[in-house]
Amino acid sequence: AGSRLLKGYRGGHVVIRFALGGCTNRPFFRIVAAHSRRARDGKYLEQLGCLDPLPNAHGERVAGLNLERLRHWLGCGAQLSRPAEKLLGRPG
Amino acid sequence: EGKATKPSFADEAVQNLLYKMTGLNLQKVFRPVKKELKPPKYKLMTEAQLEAATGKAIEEAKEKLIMPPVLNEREPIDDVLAEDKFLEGTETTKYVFTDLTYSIPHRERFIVVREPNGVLRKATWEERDRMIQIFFPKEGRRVIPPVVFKDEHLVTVFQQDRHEDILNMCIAQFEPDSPDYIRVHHRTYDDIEKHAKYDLLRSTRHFGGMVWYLVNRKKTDGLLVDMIHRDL
Repeated sequence: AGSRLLKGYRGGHVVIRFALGGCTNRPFFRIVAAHSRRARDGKYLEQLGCLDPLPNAHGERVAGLNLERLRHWLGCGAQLSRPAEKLLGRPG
Repeated sequence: EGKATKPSFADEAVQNLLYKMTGLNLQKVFRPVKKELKPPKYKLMTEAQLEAATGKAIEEAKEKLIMPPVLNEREPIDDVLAEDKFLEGTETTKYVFTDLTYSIPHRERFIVVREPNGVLRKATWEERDRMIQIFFPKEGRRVIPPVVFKDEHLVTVFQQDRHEDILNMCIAQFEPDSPDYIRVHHRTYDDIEKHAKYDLLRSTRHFGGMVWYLVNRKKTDGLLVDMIHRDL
């Protein structure tokens, strides 16, 4: 009961990656800063934005990024996953 | 046209004039906005207290009558940041990136669209409004502007004499310098002036804007006749 709250582990580093959420046939990614050893959808350090991979009524894929906190985490030395790199490379 | 310096809407003198013309009908300003029914409360006061209460009521009425700003139409944004030909054909849809930093005013946010042909451009005003509404919802706004603001439906609203309600909705929904806001306002003022229904807006905060519009287009005859009849 409550013993899994503080997970101690060896190694691991901070990554910025996508956490999948949403319903059947309806994915929704949250851009999240978490330890690399955590479950994909588990406890994260901070949520930095979101991405909706399905196009909306105007044919756009909406993404939001919290640039200020992103800069903070990248300054702390976080790594990026491959799709996160692609997403952040789009707006330049 | 013909004057050297045209007075703008935000001048002190103009504002004072418009405020005096708006009239201060306490009964109408504090007409109960539809809320839950409560039995009216009666207070027993002396003369002095009654005057103090009336003074406070006038202050609050003044606050409610602050006019929404009248600005020119905003220029459409058309700024291309980058053109990357090598990205052509990799995706099929547009990507809209919104900057979600909390402490940036909405006017200065970066909202950027990456088109499928690789062009990176700033988002248009409609896209900006939509994104800001999605991520930072404001009360009274919807993501897609309601259908009521189209011309054929505006006619229906005018036949029901609910100009004030639709103007309030319009203020809540659009930015003051968006072309939709300006178009709806102009349409409303035109209709009121055509049917001489100045009374509907007499003691609300839209009166100043209406008078400004009529003065700019020199259609004030009906309004002046109306005011003379009432000896204002």
